Amino acid sequence: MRICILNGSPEAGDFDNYLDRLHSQLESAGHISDTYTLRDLSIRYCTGCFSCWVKTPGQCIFHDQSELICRAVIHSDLVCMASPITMGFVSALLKKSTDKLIPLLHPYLSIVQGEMHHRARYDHYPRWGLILRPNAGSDIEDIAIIQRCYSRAALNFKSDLAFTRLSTQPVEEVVYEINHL
Amino acid sequence: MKLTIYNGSPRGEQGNSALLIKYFNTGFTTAENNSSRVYHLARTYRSEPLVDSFLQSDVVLLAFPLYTDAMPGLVKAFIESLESCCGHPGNPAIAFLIQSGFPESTHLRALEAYLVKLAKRLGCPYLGTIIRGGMEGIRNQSEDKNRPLLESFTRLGEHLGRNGQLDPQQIKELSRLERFPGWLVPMLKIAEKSGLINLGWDQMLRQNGAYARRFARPYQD
Repeated sequence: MRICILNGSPEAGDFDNYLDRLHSQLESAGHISDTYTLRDLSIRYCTGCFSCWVKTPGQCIFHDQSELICRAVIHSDLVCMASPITMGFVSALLKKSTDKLIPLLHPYLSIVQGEMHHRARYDHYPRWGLILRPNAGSDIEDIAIIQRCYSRAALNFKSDLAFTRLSTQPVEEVVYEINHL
Repeated sequence: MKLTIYNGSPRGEQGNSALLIKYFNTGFTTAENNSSRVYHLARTYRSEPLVDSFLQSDVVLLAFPLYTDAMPGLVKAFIESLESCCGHPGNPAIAFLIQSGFPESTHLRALEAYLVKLAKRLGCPYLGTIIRGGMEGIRNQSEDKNRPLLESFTRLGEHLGRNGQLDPQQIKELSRLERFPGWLVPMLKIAEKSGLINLGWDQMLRQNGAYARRFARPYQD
């Protein structure tokens, strides 16, 4: 599998080390894995201008490094959205980067499971996985809420949320889960 | 009562959220001794004035559109800046206003669950979350055409301004399209197949000279 790990930690630290170990073990298991440390990339906030849908179809008009992420994601079989939990949700950094994936969708509306969603732009979309680092202020309710939001986002991106794992769990367990998707 | 409204729309004062806030605020300030201030998060680059205003308010309203099934990234950044306010004695009461382009309220319920928890995490009395779908493009339409809907937001603001609470019945009325009724889905699918459902997008694409490239896949290779 081709796997894209999006590291949404705003600071360097143990979470980076955890994701580095995940990357190494995924490669040892025969996958192709690429990690993107989002804090090191120049990614603007989405401004809601719709240019990626109606002016420069499929591409953000600002040509920031979200293009690198869009290209990596659309060429992957699995995207791991990795983030510490802060104020009960994924980091602003990861959320900003998730927002900037919308050029991968088409604006045209489509009825999916009786709901309105956007159409696919590409033939293939990767599955999603969440890797979260809990902190003292987070609990299982926070994790369930993040899962709900990201499950819905994955549905909009023609995909599903295949797993949610915590960085308190051994890397080997995450690799096992990915190997058995 | 001192209200601070945080507009979390990435489009700032040009967005659909700003229009709904304008009507809400008009209602709130009809009551004597009420004052309000609006911050547009997309135009506010330092967090200190925002945190200060939060702590100095009696009630706050955080309003924003749904972005990839949750809050826009810049709203999450604002929420993170409030971490030092968690459990602060005398925190303001908090209300939320979330809206989406998708018509159904179901798209906003997971986000609502986060906001209920956020209020608890901050230690703010939770007043409720106003939810409304189908708001994309309302800023570009005649306010007269949408007056009944917009005045619903004025009434919400009035109720808050008089009573210090949001009216749950008004909230329920605004969010009443939870999911499409079963009988409507086949008709929507026909509208989808015929292209009728996408006429608005086609119009924008043509205006920008981008219609021929509408199916572009720039990251295909």
